[in-house]
Amino acid sequence: MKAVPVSPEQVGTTPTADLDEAEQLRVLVREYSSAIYRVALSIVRDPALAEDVTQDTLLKAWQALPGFRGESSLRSWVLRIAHNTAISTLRRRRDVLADPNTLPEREARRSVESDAEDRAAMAEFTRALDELDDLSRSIVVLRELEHQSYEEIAATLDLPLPTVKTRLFRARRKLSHALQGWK
Amino acid sequence: MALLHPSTRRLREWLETPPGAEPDAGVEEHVSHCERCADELEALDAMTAEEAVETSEVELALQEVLAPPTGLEQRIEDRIEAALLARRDFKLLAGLMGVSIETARLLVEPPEEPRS
Repeated sequence: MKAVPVSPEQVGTTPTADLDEAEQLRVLVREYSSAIYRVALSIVRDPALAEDVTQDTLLKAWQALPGFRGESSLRSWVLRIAHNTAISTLRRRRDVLADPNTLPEREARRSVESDAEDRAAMAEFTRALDELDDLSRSIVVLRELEHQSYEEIAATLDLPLPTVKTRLFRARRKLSHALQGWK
Repeated sequence: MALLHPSTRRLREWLETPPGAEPDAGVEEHVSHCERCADELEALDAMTAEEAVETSEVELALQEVLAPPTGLEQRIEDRIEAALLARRDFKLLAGLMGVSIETARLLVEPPEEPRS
């Protein structure tokens, strides 16, 4: 397979180079693992499953890289694959687990238990996050953590712009409301 | 989609639907497709100084509950190597391991010991 040029805009701070396949994969892992994991965890709500999704996404992105046409940023393209992979993983998981409440607790939820003062507020926040639909969770993560513009989110998730805005505003209100006890 | 746009009051009520309460379904359907109402909601959502603090708290809380675990990148690299091993993708494995393709093949499939 021919090496694909990866520009600095596409991978952040990586120097321009015609990278070989192994280096392309390393760059993808280095640049996008954390962002993919956050998007994945916001959807699948299980750290182990989120790591599976991260691995699957990176392999899919690396294999599909020769077909990447540059119509969006590489970051948006990779996060779109992450979102779709997480959604299909969750659907398969839900097929297996008849009761969604049997999904494992999130590791992050357990970690905050060490801080008694924040525990209740973070549990409330986590519950509010869980109560959002999958799409709203992705939108709020892309906006608040990836700092994507509304247009970028619409392109990443293939949604109309009004849907992105309205879901984001509602989701942010709900999450802010849940954090009121934290102040 | 309804032809008439919801009033500003209805939009604000929809935006501020308390958690657990059912949002106005008519408004919900309309705003999902209407650029004009999305813009109006954006204006309604325009942050006051207090809300700006709330947004930053949402970001902090999200960072905490969605934090990647320590060693994620290395673990993912190792898992990908294992997946490629299973696939016998010697060319890519060689690149990842920094060895020749033949060495990667030998590491994965060592030659059989001659029978004595």
